[in-house]
Amino acid sequence: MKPRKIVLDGGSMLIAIETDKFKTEMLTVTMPLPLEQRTSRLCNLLFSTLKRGCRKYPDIASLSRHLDDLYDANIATMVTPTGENISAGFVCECLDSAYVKSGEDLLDGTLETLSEMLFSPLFTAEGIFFENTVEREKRNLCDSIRASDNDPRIHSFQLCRGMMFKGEPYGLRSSGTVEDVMAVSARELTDFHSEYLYSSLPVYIYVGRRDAENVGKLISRHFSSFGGSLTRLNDTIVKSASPTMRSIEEDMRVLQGKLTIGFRSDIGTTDDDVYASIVFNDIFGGSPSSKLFRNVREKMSLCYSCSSSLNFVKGALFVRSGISNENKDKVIGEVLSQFEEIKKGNVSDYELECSKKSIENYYRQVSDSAYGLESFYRTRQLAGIDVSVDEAIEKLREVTREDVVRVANRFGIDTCAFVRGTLSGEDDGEGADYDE
Amino acid sequence: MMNNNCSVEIKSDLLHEKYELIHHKSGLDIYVFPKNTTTSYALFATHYGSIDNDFMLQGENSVTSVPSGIAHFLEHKMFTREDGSDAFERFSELGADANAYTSYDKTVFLFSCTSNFKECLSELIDFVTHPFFTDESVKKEQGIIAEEIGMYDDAPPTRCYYGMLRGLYEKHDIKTNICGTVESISQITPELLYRCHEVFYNLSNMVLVVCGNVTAEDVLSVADRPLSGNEPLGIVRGKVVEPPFAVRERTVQKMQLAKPVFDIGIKDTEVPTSSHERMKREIAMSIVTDLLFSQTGELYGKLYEMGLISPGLSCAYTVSETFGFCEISGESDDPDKVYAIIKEYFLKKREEGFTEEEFERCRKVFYSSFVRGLDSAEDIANDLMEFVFDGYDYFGYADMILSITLCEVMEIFRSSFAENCFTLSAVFPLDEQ
Repeated sequence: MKPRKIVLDGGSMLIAIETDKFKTEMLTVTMPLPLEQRTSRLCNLLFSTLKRGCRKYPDIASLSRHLDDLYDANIATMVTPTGENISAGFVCECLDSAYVKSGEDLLDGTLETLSEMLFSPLFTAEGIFFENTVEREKRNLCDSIRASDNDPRIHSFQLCRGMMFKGEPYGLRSSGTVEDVMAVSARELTDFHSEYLYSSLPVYIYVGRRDAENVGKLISRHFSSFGGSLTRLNDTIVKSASPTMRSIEEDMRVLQGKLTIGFRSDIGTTDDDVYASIVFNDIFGGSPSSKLFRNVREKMSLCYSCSSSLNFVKGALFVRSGISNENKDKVIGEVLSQFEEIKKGNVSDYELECSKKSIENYYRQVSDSAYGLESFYRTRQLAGIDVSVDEAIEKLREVTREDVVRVANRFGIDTCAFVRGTLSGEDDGEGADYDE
Repeated sequence: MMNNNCSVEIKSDLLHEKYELIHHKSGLDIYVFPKNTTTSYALFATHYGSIDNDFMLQGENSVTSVPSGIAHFLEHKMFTREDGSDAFERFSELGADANAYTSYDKTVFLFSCTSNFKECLSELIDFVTHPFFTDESVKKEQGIIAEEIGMYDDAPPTRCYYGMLRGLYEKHDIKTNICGTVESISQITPELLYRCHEVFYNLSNMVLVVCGNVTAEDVLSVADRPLSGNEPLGIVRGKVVEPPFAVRERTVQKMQLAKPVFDIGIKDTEVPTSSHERMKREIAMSIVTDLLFSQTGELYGKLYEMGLISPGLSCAYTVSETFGFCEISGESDDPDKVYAIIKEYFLKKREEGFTEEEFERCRKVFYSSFVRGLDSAEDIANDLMEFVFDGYDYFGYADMILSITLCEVMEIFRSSFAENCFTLSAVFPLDEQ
């Protein structure tokens, strides 16, 4: 299932995965942006404002009704930091017409709706977004920022990320701060809308039964207004860990402490060691057969979850765990000791083979989901990697134990963030139940 | 116990799909759903979950009562093998992903793989049918699950949800967290775990479902040998009689969070005993909750414009043999006001009803969501298992979505959900008055 890449009139790229495997069709429209405080907060606000309605479907109810009539077609937004840039855009997904009795072209209808939302938004007589709509969306975005600040798991991760990547765009909060968001005006958002949309040259990814040429025609019909040029994106910053581990700790009124340990390496997406770093992550803490799961959880009984995840675009790895405060030093000690084990070469053939098989299984499963395929190709496209699922599997198979050990030695511990829970079991609020 | 396997093919012309049901000679029902996917997915499940804490076998004269959370504890402990190894490791060797979960009334063990299907299936059947518990391993697990409970106790939506269930139910075990409490799991012993396994992991109380690029022959070539028959056990489950109303109207907790969250529950006091009627009720009330509370309805837009709710109001109807309720949850600065508006609107629409146009649109949405589920081997296997245990007909469900009338939906809507069946659970920030 190798995707076809074609350049459309106007210069946009279409990556088409032609398959009759699904009962749905999906097209994503990605308009990447450099990650800056201004772009990230405006992008979030713009997308949520556009979802509130457009000239043809002026409120949430009429827009939703229209999509429901298209057999619950979905138009979702994505604003995801990818390295020093933002992967921003829209995901359109609908039933394949073969499965509806009327046989109507649901994808055509869905793309038409997205085009209305993007290019015919609801403006005042002065040609700007309605103030009250923008205010509502600002408040919602601020609510979600505050919600993240009050979620111990997310907060611990943000503390770690902020310190690790200080001064780099990736260290910024992707939604900005409450103060930044509240300062946006309807005029500023309107200016951003035209500057962003009319100068963008999107990347389209399609998954479904149509051939690429057919999809290209649909895109030309609905999205000819884009007609911009390729946005200048930031280069990704990849660098080794700080020479000494930095620590940050905060209290929160919760029961369980949340630990995040960040590791960095100089392995970027074009580095030959990128596949070995994926295997290293899996052996370290990426699965139930990993060193962290087997030791910190199963052997020492210190937590329910202790796992690692790799951000392969930034060459960074995060270990996260929910633990009792008193076990903090024990858990950090064990995590670092397992890391040292790999660096010293204590990786068995068994661990290596299990990990490679597990990752291969994961890659193979990508082709069973339209979302999986779309996400695989979008992430790699933005990271500048031209590789198919099968090619990725081939590269993975070539990874040796020496590669994994070398890669582990290219990683270093950078930052340790801990959110300390200050509640005890007695004052967890359960007793506050009352009737009225 | 039968001497031979007996199989039936079940087809849907509408959905262009079919599957095979094999009544295995061991007493186990096996479902094989062929699908052209790279991934094969299998699950081995028992009709046993967190609410089954009082039970006896036919012929016994006393009820066994076990601590809350034991079904979930047992699920965790099943992965430990007698030779000291862990079933997870074996699946890793085979390049497969294994997992398990426990719900109110089901415990499910599963794997997905893109190769070595037969070896994985053999491992799944083997570890689920061979329990091994020691005092030491039980003690160790108590530490792990205590941290899991701590994790859920810090999650406002989870706490709010159980607050809602405590508002609806007086005695039913559904109101207790599936993991149990730190106190209840401390009472679990190897003997209790063996007893629960013996009773509920009897093959006649279980189901094996496989979906992917596999045939019934593939499955039987693995399953025939290890599945020795065990005589079906007549399980008598404890029954509680619940009052036909919500036991309290307001439950409030305080936690670390920025904006209050709420969960409104509406108790269904007329849950049918017939599974066919329950399936119809599930479809009808799922359509009703969607008509009332989705973004398409008038209420969502009104609450949103008033600034009373954040995006992401969710609604659902849940029904099982012994309970049923509607649930509406979200975030609001004023949960009490949202509750009052929702309650008034719900009761008003219960009298007024809906237009055919609104109903037809909602039917499309519901049908589409069912069809989408058929794109995923995982969704198919899990849905099929749920349907089998609930006594529903899988393809018949899609047919019923397309055939149910507005009149039938309104009749069900008006049969229960009266004014005294409402409850509000809210979690406020710690510093809020």
